[in-house]
Amino acid sequence: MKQTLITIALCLLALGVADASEPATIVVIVNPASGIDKLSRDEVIDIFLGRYRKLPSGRTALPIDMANPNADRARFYQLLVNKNPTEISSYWARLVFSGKTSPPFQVPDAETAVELVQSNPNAIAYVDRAALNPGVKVVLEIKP
Amino acid sequence: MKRKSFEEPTRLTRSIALGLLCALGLASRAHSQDLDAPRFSVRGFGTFAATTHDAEGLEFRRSVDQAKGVDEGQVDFAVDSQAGVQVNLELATHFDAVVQSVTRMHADGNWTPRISQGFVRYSPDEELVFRVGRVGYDIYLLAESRQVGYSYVSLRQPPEFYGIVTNDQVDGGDASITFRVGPGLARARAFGGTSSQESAFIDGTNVENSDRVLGASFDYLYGGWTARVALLRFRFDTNPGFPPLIGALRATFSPQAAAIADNLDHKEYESRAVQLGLAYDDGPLQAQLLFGTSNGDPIVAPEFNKLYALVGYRVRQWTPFVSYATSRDRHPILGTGLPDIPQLAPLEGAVRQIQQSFRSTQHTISAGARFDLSEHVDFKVQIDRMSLGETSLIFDHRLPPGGPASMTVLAASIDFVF
Repeated sequence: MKQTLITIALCLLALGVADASEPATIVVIVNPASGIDKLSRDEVIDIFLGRYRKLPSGRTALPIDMANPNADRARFYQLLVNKNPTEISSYWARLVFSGKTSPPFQVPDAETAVELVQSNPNAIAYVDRAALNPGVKVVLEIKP
Repeated sequence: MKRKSFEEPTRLTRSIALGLLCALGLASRAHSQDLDAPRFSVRGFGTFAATTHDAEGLEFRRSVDQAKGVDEGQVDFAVDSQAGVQVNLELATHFDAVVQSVTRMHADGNWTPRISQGFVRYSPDEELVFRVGRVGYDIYLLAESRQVGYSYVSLRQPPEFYGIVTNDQVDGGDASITFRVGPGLARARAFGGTSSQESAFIDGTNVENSDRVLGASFDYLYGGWTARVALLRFRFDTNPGFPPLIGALRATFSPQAAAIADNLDHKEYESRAVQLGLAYDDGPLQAQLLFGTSNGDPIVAPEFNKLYALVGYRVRQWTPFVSYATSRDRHPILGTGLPDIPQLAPLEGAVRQIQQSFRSTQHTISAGARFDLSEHVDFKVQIDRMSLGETSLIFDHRLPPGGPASMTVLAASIDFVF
C-alpha cells in the first residue's frame, strides 16, 4: 500500500514537472524607443482588436499579428480574450467589412515580428518568451 | 416616389474607383514586410442559403426590398443568399480607401452588384476618424452591414428589426471620436447624407425613395461589453401621387378624410428613431439586446417599437443560439371614415395602402446553431417560429381577410470569407 502511494505521489510529481515545462508565457513587446514601459491587458486588447491604437506615449501603435496557422497566435488570443482563431476571424470579418478598421499587419513567424519591432518604434507584437532578444522591450506578460 | 437605375455608377463611386486604381500602382511597389508601405487587399464574403417554410398562401421575405420571397413548401436559394467583394487600400498612415460591392436580390428582382460602401477615410490620429463617400451608419450594434453572414452567429439579422428600414448606408460622411473614459472606451459618431430605400410590393411593382439621414451614436466599450445609444432622423419628399389623393380626400368634406389629407399635405416628411443596445462578447458567450422605437409624421412614417435579444454559447466548433425579435406598430391603421360605397372605396384603399406599406407587427422565436468548418467557412441551420400580425414583410396571397398567421421558417446556409 505504502509503495502504491509513493508511486502515485511520484506520478503526480512527474505531472507537475510536465506542467511546469509547458511553453513559456506569451509576452507583448515594443521597441525600446517607443516611450512606453508597460501596457495593461485592456490596452493590449484594444490595440489588437482594432478598437483603439493610441499608445500612452501618444504614438499610434502598429500591431503585428502572426499569420495562420500559428500556435503562438492561437495561444495569444486564447489567453487574451478567450477566443479561438475562428472567432477572431469572425470578429475581424465584422469590422473589416464594415470598413471600420484594418486587421493587424501579419508576419509568418515570431522572428520576423521581433525584427519589425526592433526596426519600428511604433510596432507592437506578441511572441513566446523564448523568442525574445535584447533588442525589444516587454510591456506585458500574458500568463495562462 | 421615383424609380432610379442602380446600375449607373454615381460620380462619387467612379471617383473612388479611379483613385483606387491609381493608388494600386503605388501599392504594388510596396515591400511586403514594410510596415509603413501602402497596403492593398481584396477580400470577399458570401452566403449560400436554402430556405423554406410551412405557411399556406404566404411568401416569406427577410426585408421589404426583396422582390420575391419563399412560397410554402418550396426550397428557395435566393432570399438568404448574397455575396460581396471589398477592396481596401492604405495610401499612407492617415489615409485609406474602401470599396465594397454586394450582389443580392433587390426590389426589381435583379442581382446586379451595387456599391454598398465606397469611401476615403482620414484618421489624423487614433481618436478622430473622418470618412467621406458611401458609408454605413449605426443601426447594427456590432457592425455596419447585415450582408456578411460569416460575422454573425445567426443565419439572418432579424426582419422585425431591420426588415422595414433597409437602407443602411448614406452618401455623405461621418466623423467619430474615440477616447478613454475610466476603464473603457467611449466613442461618439455623427453621420449624415442621402440614402435610398427600396420597397417591393405584392403586385410586382417596386419603388425607391430617397431619404436624407442625420444621426449620432454613442458607444461605451469595456471588456466584452458594448453599450449603444443611437439617434436617427430621416427626411423624405412627398410622393407625386399624393396631391391628387389629397384633393380627392378634401373634396369629400369628411372631417376624418380632411385630417388625413392635412397629414399628407407636406413637401417633406420626417421620421425619427432611437436605438438602445447592449452586447456582451467575451469568451464563448455572445449576447445582444436591442431596443428601437420610431415615430414620425402620421400616415406616411412608421411608428413602432422593436426588441431583439440573442444568446449564443460556443462549445468547441458549435455555437448554438436562441433569439427573440418583436416589432409592433403603435397605432392601428387610420381609416378615412368615408361611407362604405364603391365610389369612395379607392380613396379608402389608397390611404390604407400607404400605411400598410410599412406595417410591421410580428414576432419570431428562433433557435439554431453555427458550426465552424474552418477559419473562413461556417455552416448554419436555423428554425424560426413567426407570429404574424399586420406586416408588409410577408406577401399575403390568401383570400381576404387574411388575418394573423403563424409560419415556421427553416433555413441552412454556408457562409464564407476570404
